[in-house]
Amino acid sequence: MKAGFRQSMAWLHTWTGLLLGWLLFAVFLTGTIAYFREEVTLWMQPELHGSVPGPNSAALAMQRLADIAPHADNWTIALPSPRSTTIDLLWRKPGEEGGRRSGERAVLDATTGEVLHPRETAGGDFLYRFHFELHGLPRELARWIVGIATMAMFLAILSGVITHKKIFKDFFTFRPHKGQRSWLDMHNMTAVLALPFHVMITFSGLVLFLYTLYPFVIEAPRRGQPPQAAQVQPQQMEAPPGQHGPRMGQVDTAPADLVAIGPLMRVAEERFGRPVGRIAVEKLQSPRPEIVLSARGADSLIAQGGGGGGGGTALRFDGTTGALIGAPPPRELSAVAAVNAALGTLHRARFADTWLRWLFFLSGIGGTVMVGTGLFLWVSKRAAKHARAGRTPSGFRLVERLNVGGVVGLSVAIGAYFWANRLLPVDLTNRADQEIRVFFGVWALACLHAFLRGPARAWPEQLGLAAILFAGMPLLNAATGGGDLVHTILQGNWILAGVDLAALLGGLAFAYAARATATPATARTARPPRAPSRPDDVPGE
Amino acid sequence: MLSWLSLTLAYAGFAALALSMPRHCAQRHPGKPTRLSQRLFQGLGWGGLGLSLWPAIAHWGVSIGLTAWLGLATVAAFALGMALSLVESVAPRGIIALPALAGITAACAASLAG
Repeated sequence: MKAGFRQSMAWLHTWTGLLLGWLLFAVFLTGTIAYFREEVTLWMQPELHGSVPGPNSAALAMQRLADIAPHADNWTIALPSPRSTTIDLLWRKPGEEGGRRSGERAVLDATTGEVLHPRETAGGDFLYRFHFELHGLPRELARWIVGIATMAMFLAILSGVITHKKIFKDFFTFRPHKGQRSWLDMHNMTAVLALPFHVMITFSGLVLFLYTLYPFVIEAPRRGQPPQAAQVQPQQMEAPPGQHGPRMGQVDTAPADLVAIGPLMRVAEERFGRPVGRIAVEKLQSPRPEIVLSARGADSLIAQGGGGGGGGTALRFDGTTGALIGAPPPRELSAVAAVNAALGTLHRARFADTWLRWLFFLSGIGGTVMVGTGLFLWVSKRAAKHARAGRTPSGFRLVERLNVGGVVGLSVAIGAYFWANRLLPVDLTNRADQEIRVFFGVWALACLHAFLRGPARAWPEQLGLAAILFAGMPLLNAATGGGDLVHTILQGNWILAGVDLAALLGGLAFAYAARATATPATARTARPPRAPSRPDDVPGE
Repeated sequence: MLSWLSLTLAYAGFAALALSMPRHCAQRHPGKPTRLSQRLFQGLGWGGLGLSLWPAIAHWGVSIGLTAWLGLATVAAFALGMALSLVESVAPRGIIALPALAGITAACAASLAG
């Protein structure tokens, strides 16, 4: 009875894994890169690479805004951070709605205050959006598809843990150069070692999809709050009632009369215990403008802030006197809402400092490798059998080729996407769309190539191409106006150096894989399946 | 520094756990591990893992610290797996050096943190 259960679990693992494997691979890979979405976007805008954060960014931004947008009703300043080297400005005219896309924006060099003109790019945002709503499909439909894939992932994890119980016994085991055995070791290792991450990311992904798939589930915990609660930006929160002083006479306050920002920053940073990430100046056209300083990052998983600000901590000051008016009331979350918030925050790694973000990234790479090796195992397990039988079913041949297109083809397409960012003319109309078009064009070509050349040749060829594309990114960056790697490292600009180095390492990994797959296919896959010493390690035949 | 301390402690813990497993113990010297050495390494392993939790929590607070610790443990275990596979092909007896190395690194990290 027990064997029967494990067998059906193995079946479930094999087939849910195969059916949605390619999609899951794409979701994992693009989602993992999206942990560095802002860094990638910065890399893709070489016009901004010269900006180096200085100590006076806040004062510089206030001064420049007074010049650029004296008639605005409010200003928002995103200060340089470990993830961004520029000063990002946003301002709105009186009466303008506070939507996500409204207002005018500018990007400043953080040292000189000069307005920069970055190229139009789809940036890291495209990869981020792709990982949960794909592209070119109606949003609702795409989210359903990815939501179902997430559910399949959950099933594959559970059934995988049940079928491969043994993996917990020797999960440090990786035997290289042993053909299928090595792939299986790699599959087990990346699965078990990052299992907490896989469970967390899949489960929290499902919870995030609930917002789309079953909106009514979400209604309950939100009741009693204004419907737009989640979108309230820190600068829109009201100070507690009764703390507003009586209105002064109608004095015409120009933005130039604002109090110096430096002392307010010091007060706020002392209170927060961490740097200020965002400055908002409100009611600029009234006699009593107000300045709201928000902390960067968060110190707990349930501290939920607005959009990109991250933190939930803010202080409100009188803009003319510098007196502290109050702090926005902390949001009170019910237990369910707190769990939801924590899961959402975990999934997006919103709280994460740079090191933590790398940990998430590495675990994400682990997940990507797990899905990729799983897809490869489906093929290599059957290859020997079919070779003995002397015929290969067309379904098997299809999977073999789709594996190349889905796994390496996607990697090549992402590499090409970065190259397109630099090689397409800067003033191209709809430039962001053209970058995306290159991505899909190259992906389609890679799939076609796999069908024309056959998997034995397509694997090393495409892996080799991916190696060149990724390993060449630092050179491409330096050659097309970006900050070159030597310079960025010496400068300590780890945002740009990090993207370059990660691309270089990825390229080396692809080169290694290209060499490994270039050995004659017979030596790898046609090895008699006697190799595993414990047959129950290899279920799912 | 606290995060390094957590990482190296987790690595040392995993290395000790690996030594308690018959498969990896055989890499150290031929023959089955004795019950005593198995218990000893198990105790050391779980002890190390448990200990690696506190620097993470001290550094990041409870909720983020637990999350970060899981990530650090993943990296530590993965590094150990790779090291084991390398040692196996290069110097099979060298496995005993791994936990010792981690112990020394952890001690250095601790003295720098303290």
